[in-house]
Amino acid sequence: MTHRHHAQGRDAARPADDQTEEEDRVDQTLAESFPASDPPYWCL
Amino acid sequence: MAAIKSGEKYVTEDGVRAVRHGVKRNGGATTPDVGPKPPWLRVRVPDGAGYRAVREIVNTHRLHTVCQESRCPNIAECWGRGTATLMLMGEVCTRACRFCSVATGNPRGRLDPGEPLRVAEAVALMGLRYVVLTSVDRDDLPDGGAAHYAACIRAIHARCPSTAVEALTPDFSGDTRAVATVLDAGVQTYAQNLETVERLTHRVRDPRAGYRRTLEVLAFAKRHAPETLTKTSLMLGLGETDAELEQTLRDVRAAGVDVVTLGQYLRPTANHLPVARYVTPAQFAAYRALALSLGFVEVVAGTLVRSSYRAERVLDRNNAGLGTAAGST
Repeated sequence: MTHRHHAQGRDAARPADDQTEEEDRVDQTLAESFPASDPPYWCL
Repeated sequence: MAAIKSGEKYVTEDGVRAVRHGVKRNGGATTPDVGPKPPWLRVRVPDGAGYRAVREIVNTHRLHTVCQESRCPNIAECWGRGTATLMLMGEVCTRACRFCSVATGNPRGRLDPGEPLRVAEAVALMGLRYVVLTSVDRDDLPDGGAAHYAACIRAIHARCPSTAVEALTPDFSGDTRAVATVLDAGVQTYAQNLETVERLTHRVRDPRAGYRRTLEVLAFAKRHAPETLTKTSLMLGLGETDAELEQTLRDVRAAGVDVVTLGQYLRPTANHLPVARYVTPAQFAAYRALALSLGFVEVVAGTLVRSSYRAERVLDRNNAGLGTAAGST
């Protein structure tokens, strides 16, 4: 769920399971920094 | 922390009462941003191992970073390559700027005397050749925290003699003695952020901050330590006009500032100021060219540029490597 939040900023139209490994790492890193319950507004 | 919503009051681990993310909840009267995010606003690719290593050092040494507290969009990239901007004197700021997500409260004079040594140790562990120190505003301290700043800088010099230090400080309420205290500790770059144009300053920054005051602080820094680079940062997209931006750049240059950075304002929470416009990469390039023509040593301009973003590369005079293959690492 958190990954979906962060994926939207980069490419909302593409299915999340189509992400590259690098993109997965971006999402994981940001998810660790900003909790899913309260992601930065620029992430939404 | 996750259970506390933005804008709600809470008590920190140090017992300080604060407002999370610095601005109280606006009761649902959120003004929308100007429009959907443009395609050029993208998150950078991080390195997971590097990110985790920095996070471990930060946590182990009980440090705060502006990367986390300001919800910086570059955190993945910067931490991934092993750099972080350390935020001194706690996680609670005495000011409540409407663009900033650092918590607001009154630490009532509390300072951690062990912080300078822990900061120096963290810089050594990260292997930094260039470190940016910033801080919350500490209007509750007689000197605004200048002596503590200086202690941290000296501790880094003692532990890591070859590491250059950049200090991005509060305005110290215009107290030039406090500014001198930081400068005299030995910094390569001294920065104080103007943030926005004069007309919008009162709306964007805490009422205790001032456009002219920041310019005076920067001008004093250059007079007091001419060999030290001076630097300031502006956020674009808050409602400024091109004419206002040009006048601001002229004012900054007239204050003797060497380096300016220009970045897109991004709203950290719904309680903060909305984005008035998304500046295009072409516009950033034009603003950079304008600023360089005014005589700045370097101008770093781009969507995700922040004050300390790639600070160690500013004097490469290549827009800090933006848009190059080397810059993406």
